[in-house]
Amino acid sequence: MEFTISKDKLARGVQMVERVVSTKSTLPIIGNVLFEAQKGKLKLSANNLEMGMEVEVPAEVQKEGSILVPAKTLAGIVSKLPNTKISFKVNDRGLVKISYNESHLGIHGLPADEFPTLPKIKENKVFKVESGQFASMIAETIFSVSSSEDKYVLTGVLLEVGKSKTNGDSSNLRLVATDGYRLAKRGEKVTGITAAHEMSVIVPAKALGELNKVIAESSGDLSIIISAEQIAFKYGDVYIVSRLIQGQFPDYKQVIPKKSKTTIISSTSLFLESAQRAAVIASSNANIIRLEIKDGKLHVIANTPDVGQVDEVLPVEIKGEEKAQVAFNVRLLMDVLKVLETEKVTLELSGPLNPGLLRPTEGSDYTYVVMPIRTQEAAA
Amino acid sequence: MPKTILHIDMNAFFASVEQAANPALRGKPIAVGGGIKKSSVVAAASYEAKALGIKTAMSTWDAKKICPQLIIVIGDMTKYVYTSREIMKMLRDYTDLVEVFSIDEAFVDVSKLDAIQVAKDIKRRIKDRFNLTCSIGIGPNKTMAKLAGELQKPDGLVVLRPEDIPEKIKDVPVGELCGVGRKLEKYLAEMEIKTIGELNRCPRDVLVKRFGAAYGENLYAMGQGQGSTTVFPYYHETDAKSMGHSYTLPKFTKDMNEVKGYLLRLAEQVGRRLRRDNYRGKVLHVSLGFGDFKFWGKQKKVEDYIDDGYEIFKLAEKILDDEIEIEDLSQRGRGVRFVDVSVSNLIHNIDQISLFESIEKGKLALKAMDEINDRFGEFTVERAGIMNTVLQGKVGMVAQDRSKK
Repeated sequence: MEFTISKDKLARGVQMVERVVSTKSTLPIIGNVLFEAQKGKLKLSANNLEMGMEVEVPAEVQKEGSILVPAKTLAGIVSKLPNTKISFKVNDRGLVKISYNESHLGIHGLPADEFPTLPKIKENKVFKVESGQFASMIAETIFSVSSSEDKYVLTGVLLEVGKSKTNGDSSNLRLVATDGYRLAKRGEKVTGITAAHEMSVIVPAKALGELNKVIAESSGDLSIIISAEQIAFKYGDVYIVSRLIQGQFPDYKQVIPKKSKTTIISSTSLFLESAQRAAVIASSNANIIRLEIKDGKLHVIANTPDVGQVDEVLPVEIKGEEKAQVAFNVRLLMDVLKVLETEKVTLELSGPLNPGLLRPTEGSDYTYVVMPIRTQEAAA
Repeated sequence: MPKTILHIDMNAFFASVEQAANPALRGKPIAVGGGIKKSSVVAAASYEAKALGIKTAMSTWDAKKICPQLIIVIGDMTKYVYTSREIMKMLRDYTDLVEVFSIDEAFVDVSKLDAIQVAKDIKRRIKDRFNLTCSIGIGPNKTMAKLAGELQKPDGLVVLRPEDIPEKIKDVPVGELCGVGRKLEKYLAEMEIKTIGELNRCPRDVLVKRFGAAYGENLYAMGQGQGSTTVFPYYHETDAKSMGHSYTLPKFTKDMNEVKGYLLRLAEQVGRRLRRDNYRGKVLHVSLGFGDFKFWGKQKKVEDYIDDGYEIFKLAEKILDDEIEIEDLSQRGRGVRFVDVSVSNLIHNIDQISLFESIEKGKLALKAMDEINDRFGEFTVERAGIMNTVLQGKVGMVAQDRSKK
């Protein structure tokens, strides 16, 4: 194998696939990156048995071939290479000789045929979605997944394709994530999705997170390929494949409240800033803050014995009952306020023990449900 | 102000409760256990049985061989827990500073009271109401108070004044000290330390070098007649920092399943206590004590605040599965002797409601179980899994109950 490549292009590819490499696996071979030099391009692949990634980068290939290179060493070197043309050449003892300017170094590689490849995806349903749009769907939901392996199903994001069964919901592609205490749902109407595509699968958050790094703020076509056990994403020269989480995702429609007692409209950024200040005080009291309506204003209150207290007052527009008092984990509120891009946000409340609902006042089809905290006062 | 601590120890508690409840058993050698089986052990023996050589933790099978006239009574925890609670309540008539140390033992801080008068009063009231006797020790700290109680059994009342301590305890065997078990006693004997007086003269660094900092320092302090004076009130834990239960096994085990059985029981107790006082915790700690005096411990932060004993058990079990190799266990001296589970990073009166009804229903079911147990006695209702795991010897709230401030 022999090829020449620009440092920039090589570094971009290595950086992407390296994130997929598992360093803690009992199978040491997956700590490598697979190099495949083919006509006019270098294909880099990594795989941790759960998900895999392939990136193609243009290269001048003098001699086709393939080899495994230890990911950690490779990433360490590539990021420090000078900004110039880099040549790779593998000798017959498996030494990868990397030359730049007048210098060279060598890394010991391994034969490529030992590398486990993820099974090829088959019996698939394929559709296309605008990459930037899908990136925002991921960003607005992924933070709500559970990080607990005990709630394995909830460590993934539900991807629903097809018409919604909810009245008034015209979306045909939805992402839903929940950790059991809050739930984020984002819908889109995608042209090209038909009844034939209808299905719902649970995608590991890690795969969507990696995909999001590739497609954030991008535009163009993202192809989504789904089979019973796997999902794959193809965007330009990047291909990501992941196993799906098998299991029953909870019926999310049931937990989205259909009506509420009080509707509050607030500036998103002012609400976020108040929450962030209150969070400083609340951090040593299980992150509890209280939302209260007093004299037509929204108060964000935190009170931690031995630390201090805060009472943030926000000018808001109120519809329905002009009173409310409910306690939330402020982190769960901040998470959503950070990702909402609209100027204003609607908050719907229905009492101290009932879910709160947040939505952007306009634009995207987005719903965020957050459960309150039962405090001693609320229980009484 | 110097402290005065009172230690109360119910004499042959389980056996005496049975004798008090059934006049036909009075004055006879009886043993409380789980029936006559090789696998069942004597949890408590009456003084009449002790006189005939019956010892706690001996198998009931062997006990019956030594003493054929021994009456084996199947243990009834409900009765013991009820009696214990009533006695603990009685102690709180004098002060809130009552630390329940086990089902039949407690420490009371009587610094501001007339200690001897209180002791006499307690003994009389327990005798009148339950027809039970106890040994009471009074001392300047917990170690000395407990030791004082050991000096006269049954029905004792011994006061160790700070000025009398060196003289009065110098000939007492070290094994009488709380925390000095048979094994440690043997190690000390190898160093020619058999009495507290000999321990008193042993230099600190010798003890630290031989037993490590924790054990060594503790032994040295005990030899000097020192000990903790802090009594942790059981029912008045305001803002406890952690809640835990530990248990010393009646015999060593290398069987991981047995260890897990104890773990389950302890975890359920921790859960029960968290819920009773409206706490939830985020950090779980499991530790094991081995035959070689080494301790293993691991803590883990969990995603959600927890108060469900079974959940605590599952998480603790996972820590054990991930961290302890089965082969490892059989190499650790004679195996496991001590199990401890605790939960820290507690929050009080705070409950993050779940989105899913099934989770909220689970909380209600636990609450209902707690209410039944409150009304009808501990362990009236239990999860099926626990039924199979009866702690041998001292059961229930029993295992050392503690809360750290």
